[in-house]
Amino acid sequence: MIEITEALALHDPGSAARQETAAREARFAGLVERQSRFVFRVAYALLRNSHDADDVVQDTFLKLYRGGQWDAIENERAFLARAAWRTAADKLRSRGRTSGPLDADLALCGGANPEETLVTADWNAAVHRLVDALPPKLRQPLALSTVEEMSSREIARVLGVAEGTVRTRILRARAILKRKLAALMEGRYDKR
Amino acid sequence: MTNDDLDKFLDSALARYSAEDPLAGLEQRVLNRVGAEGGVRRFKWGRWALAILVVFTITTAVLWKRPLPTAKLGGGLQSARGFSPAVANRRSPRKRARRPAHPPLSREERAWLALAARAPDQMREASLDLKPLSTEPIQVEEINIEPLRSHDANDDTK
Repeated sequence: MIEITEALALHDPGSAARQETAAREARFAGLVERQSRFVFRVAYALLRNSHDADDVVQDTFLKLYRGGQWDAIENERAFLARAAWRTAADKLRSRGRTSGPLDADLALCGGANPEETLVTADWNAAVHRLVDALPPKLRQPLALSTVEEMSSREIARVLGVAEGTVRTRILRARAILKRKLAALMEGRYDKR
Repeated sequence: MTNDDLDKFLDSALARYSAEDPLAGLEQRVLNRVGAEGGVRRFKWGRWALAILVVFTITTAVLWKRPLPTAKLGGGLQSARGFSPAVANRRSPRKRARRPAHPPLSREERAWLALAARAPDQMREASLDLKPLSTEPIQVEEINIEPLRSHDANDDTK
């Protein structure tokens, strides 16, 4: 069958080009199917907004398609994570959003009294707000580490820092989170 | 709560940090957008290239059909005075209207023109009579200078 197809393609170069284009489109569609959810989560880790993350996924794949080199990517997951992170960072800059205002959020959830917060707030949401309140240098590697088991090496490639730096920052972020979480649970959260 | 419990709780909460699922049909939205806009940039480039080509063709055609400035009496004089048709065309229409197209002829030029109009045959003969400049080397006759005589030689003659 392949031989027949090749023979037909030899007789009709236009048909061969069309077949090649169709095959290329199919490969790109496969890439989108495989990685769009992952790209969404990388974008969401930074933006914390589903609609913006959706836009970032579309922008990332559109840039990739227009660039034309997507067919030659060795590690598509790492490449896409980096591309999505950059696009999300651009979107964040254009949106002018700062890191999450933890104190205001907690006040909205349960008032100024931490005990009320303990009672009323969803603990996961509380932890997420604590993460949002971390300095970007600590928050970004920690956020990426929560995306579909991204390794320290992959995170290092995305952020453009050394792998050891990523590990150190994640440990520091976790230490801060634990300290603040413990304080929250004991009802003695300070605003540091 | 012990340290281990805190760790477990933190891990569990962090696992949900980016576990947001996109709205259904994300892949199709991506492919639709790529299908709609994926070729736009290339098309834009093509459009720009076409526009540049059209402008270049029209400019070339206009310049090609334009009559070249004919050689006139006094043309050399104009160029010697720094007159350039290209520069003149670049000037604004108002300036062109204010300034004459060519600088006026000098008195000598007008006299030459009048003479040429009155007696063209004589002018032609006169121009034919003009001998071209000689390129032969200049011949200079040999100069002989007698040597000077000293005082001793004068004494001897005495």
